[in-house]
Amino acid sequence: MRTSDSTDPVIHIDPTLCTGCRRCAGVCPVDAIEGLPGEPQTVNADRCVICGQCVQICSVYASDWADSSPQAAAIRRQERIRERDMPADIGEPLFAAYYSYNLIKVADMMKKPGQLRIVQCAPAIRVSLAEEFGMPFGTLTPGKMAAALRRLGFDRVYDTNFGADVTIMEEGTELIRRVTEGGPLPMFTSCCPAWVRFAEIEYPDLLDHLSSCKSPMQMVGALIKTYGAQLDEVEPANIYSVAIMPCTCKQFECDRPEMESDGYRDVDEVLTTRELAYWIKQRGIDFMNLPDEEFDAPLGQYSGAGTIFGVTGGVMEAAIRTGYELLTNEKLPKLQLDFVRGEEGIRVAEVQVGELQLKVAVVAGLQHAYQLLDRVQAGECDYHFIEVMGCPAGCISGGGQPKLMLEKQKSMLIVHVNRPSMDTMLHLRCANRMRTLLSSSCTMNFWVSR
Amino acid sequence: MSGVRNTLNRSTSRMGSANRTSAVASSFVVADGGQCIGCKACELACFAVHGQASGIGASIGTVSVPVVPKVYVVRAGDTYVPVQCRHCENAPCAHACPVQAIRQEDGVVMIDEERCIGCTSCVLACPFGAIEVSPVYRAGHVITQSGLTHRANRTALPRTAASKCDLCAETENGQPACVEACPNHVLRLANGISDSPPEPRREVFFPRL
Ligand code: SF4
Ligand code: SF4
Ligand code: SF4
Ligand code: SF4
Repeated sequence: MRTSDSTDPVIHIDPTLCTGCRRCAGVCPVDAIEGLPGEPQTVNADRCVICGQCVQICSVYASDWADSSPQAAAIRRQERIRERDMPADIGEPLFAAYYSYNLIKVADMMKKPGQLRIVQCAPAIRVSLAEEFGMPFGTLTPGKMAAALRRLGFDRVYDTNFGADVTIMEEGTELIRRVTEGGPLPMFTSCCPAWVRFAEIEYPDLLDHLSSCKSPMQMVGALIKTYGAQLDEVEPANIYSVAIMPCTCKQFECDRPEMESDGYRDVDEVLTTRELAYWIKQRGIDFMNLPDEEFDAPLGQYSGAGTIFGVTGGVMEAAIRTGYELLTNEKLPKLQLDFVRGEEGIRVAEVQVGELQLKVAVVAGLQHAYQLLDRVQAGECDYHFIEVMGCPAGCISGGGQPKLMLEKQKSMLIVHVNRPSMDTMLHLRCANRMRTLLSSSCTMNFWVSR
Repeated sequence: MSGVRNTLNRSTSRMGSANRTSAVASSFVVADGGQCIGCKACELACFAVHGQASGIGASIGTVSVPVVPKVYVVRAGDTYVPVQCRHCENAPCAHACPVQAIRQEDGVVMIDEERCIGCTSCVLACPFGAIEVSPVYRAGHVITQSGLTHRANRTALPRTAASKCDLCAETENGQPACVEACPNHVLRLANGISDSPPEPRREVFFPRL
């Protein structure tokens, strides 16, 4: 079985299928796809940031006609499924580019007795999971998702949104500290593991510009094994913690050596949206007809600010509101930030925060990060805060999200992302309450040292 | 029964009239062969729009049957070529069909899958290699042929039918899905009168990908 330590290339191209069309190379932000046109391509694992965009775009599938007979095709298909660690009864077509699957490993671990099985779900899953069952774009199914996860055997179903709230608090506070005390600016968000890996590979000298906060997934992971363990009165060692993520790089993030507190991994295993769908289908759960169930409290509660983490500018917006309120003790008058200017892939805005004119930027798609980081390196970048998301439209277009068949649907998808009403958000109050609650009960490790 | 492929069963159908192919100028999808990169996005798009009656939605996860498109990308040496029906004015496939399952309707040569007996006569007659015979799927399951069983294990064998480009006869905007999906703009909808005449038959074996 494939190991999933950091030496696992994660992203693979099947040389027996790849036609060398190089569309994957066209979307790869770091030129990690190597090969001649018309020849099978390879992924340079040292450069690859595991964003999974190549997996999303590859349209070359294993055709029955390429084999001598339907029987030969069926045998070949089973071989490929085994090679890929996919569930054997999967019906969907197999594409040349694919990523390492963890589902078999997770399903096995779930059977281990005497452990508390806890799962967290990223905000981007609830808007996309339904697509895997043929529902229209943007159908929100948080309730069915929670119900499905309980039926898959999880004892607690938590929401990564909670961690997003904590991230916003910590990141907003860190930003204000850096602005007022002269920390390295601009400060970059650190939620996107593909972006963090990109920075490590391409701009190692700029790493202290990254926020020191863990990503929401890792924050919730840390909480589950500390605060969550106290709540349920179990030993952290007996907690099996799984995260459902829209991202192919999150497993890499959770495997990082620094993502461990007190000898326990923050998160044990990550499954993508597609893997969750495989699992639900494999277990014969009738997803469409599941009743709506609630997430578990209190770690499943959240303010709503985290929901916008899945779209570009979401982290930024939420963090600025927090920073503004912390600094001025007032509410940000206009809650939805308008990013009016900017070059392709980069949008910028200015917010008056008390005395300070806060300059912020949002980068979507790593290929656009180069020019910005070159300017930071040259000391020519006067932004205070920059959000970078590795994927073209943020996590909603992540490598682990449902793979769409038609190009035009890919652009439609982004339009359908549900943006909750900002006015109803009470995130600061809510997050503050959580913070008090948390700091009083145990010590948490929310930061990474780079 | 799927409504998608059976445009011939509409009440306005000329099904049954003696004139099996008409002189209506045909349109067809042509490919700029040298530009094709072999990405099969056209095949996938074709399958996606024709499979909707089979419960195939937007995402790959909704697909539970083998991908059976109506455009076939083949490799010839270093070049990739998408092969598609030319909607011939005097269609050889229609002449070859023993059960009159193939007819021309408003310039579009259509195969009535319900009527087709999967005999492959049209496959042999088509000078472009545009037709494949494949199992018929409905609602995610293969249709079996009554009375046709596997000799060794007595399992029912699938019903097969001929399948080829129908110019996305049932799509709303009239633009074939492959033309829209091709990232290299290799494909375009051509008009039979003004565009180049069909190429002569090539005696080369092009493997499907
Ligand atoms: S991996 Fe897929 S997209 Fe990339 S070159 Fe091969 S076939 Fe094309
Ligand atoms: S996962 Fe991302 S970085 Fe890696 S090869 Fe694919 S597109 Fe490039
Ligand atoms: S299938 Fe072949 S013979 Fe029939 S109309 Fe199309 S190109 Fe002509
Ligand atoms: S989509 Fe275009 S480039 Fe890709 S295989 Fe089809 S014709 Fe060729």
